[in-house]
Amino acid sequence: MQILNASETKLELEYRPQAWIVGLGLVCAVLVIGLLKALFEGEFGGVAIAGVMLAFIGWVWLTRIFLTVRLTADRDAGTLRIATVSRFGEKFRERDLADLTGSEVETRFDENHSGAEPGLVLSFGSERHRLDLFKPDPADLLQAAESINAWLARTTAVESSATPRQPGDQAL
Amino acid sequence: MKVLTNTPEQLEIIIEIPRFIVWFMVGPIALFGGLFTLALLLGGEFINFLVTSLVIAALVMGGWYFLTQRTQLWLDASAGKLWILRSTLFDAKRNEFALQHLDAAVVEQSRHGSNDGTQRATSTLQLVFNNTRPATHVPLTGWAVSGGGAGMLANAINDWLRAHHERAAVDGPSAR
Repeated sequence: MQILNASETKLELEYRPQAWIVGLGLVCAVLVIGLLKALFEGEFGGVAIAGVMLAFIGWVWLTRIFLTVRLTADRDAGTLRIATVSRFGEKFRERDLADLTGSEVETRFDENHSGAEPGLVLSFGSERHRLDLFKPDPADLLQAAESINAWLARTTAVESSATPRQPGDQAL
Repeated sequence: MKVLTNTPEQLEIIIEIPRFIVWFMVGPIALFGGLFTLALLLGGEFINFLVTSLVIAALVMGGWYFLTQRTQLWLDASAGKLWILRSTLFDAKRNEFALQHLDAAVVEQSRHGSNDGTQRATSTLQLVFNNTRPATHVPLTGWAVSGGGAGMLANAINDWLRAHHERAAVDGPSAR
């Protein structure tokens, strides 16, 4: 995950699976070339095979891989916005920033082939929300979790310093 | 795969496929593919020339992109930080972590069957961070290699970390 903005009032993180986009994009490019060649030469069998493969891989590419997940925490607006941007538009959900208590990396294991699947989890008190990211780099996830926690701690520190403790306040 | 700096204060390693191996893998595709497309052009098959040259260009570019990925790792005792820098043909990104969260380096091995029925092992070097539960494994490369290079680097990292923790224990918690 890339940090786009980390100011006092705003934290913006973005994730895009770059290597997968490049790899499958090249496969799609080769299939397009094959499709055009088959069309030009009138080979309808070739057109059908290349067309079906292109449709399948292109659909997976556009709907599962060529996605940008953007996480925006805005202290002024008091919101946390999790947006998934695809070629077909943007889907997002918003939560109160005050509900966000922290973030951590959690590795779960696939129950079919036991492969490790690290993911970024946002904690809203007892509720946990795991972000749906395609093949994330664990180093990016660790960095993102640290950035979110550091930003939240900074926010808390700013709020604490703005309201100094009075004699008689209960110790936290 | 090599250790560039190994002092008590700093460990720097670099992981990349040597450039001559990249050329050895990509070069023949570019050379013989280029000759083949040239023959198509000279033979008057313009459409085949165009299609073949585009496919070969995509293969060479894709191969070059994935094979020239490079990872550099710095461990800095005085700053108490470690950095992972990954660079590709198009971009570079840097991750920074606290050194105290790095538990160890490990090598993950995968076994693949080959045509003659024997098993070949390939290895990936991974860093283990203990500030999550379960610990998070960060692979330093997207590809695996055969041979002992990953093991050599894992030993170098673990030896350096052990010496760093011993020094920190002797100096006291304030030195960390």
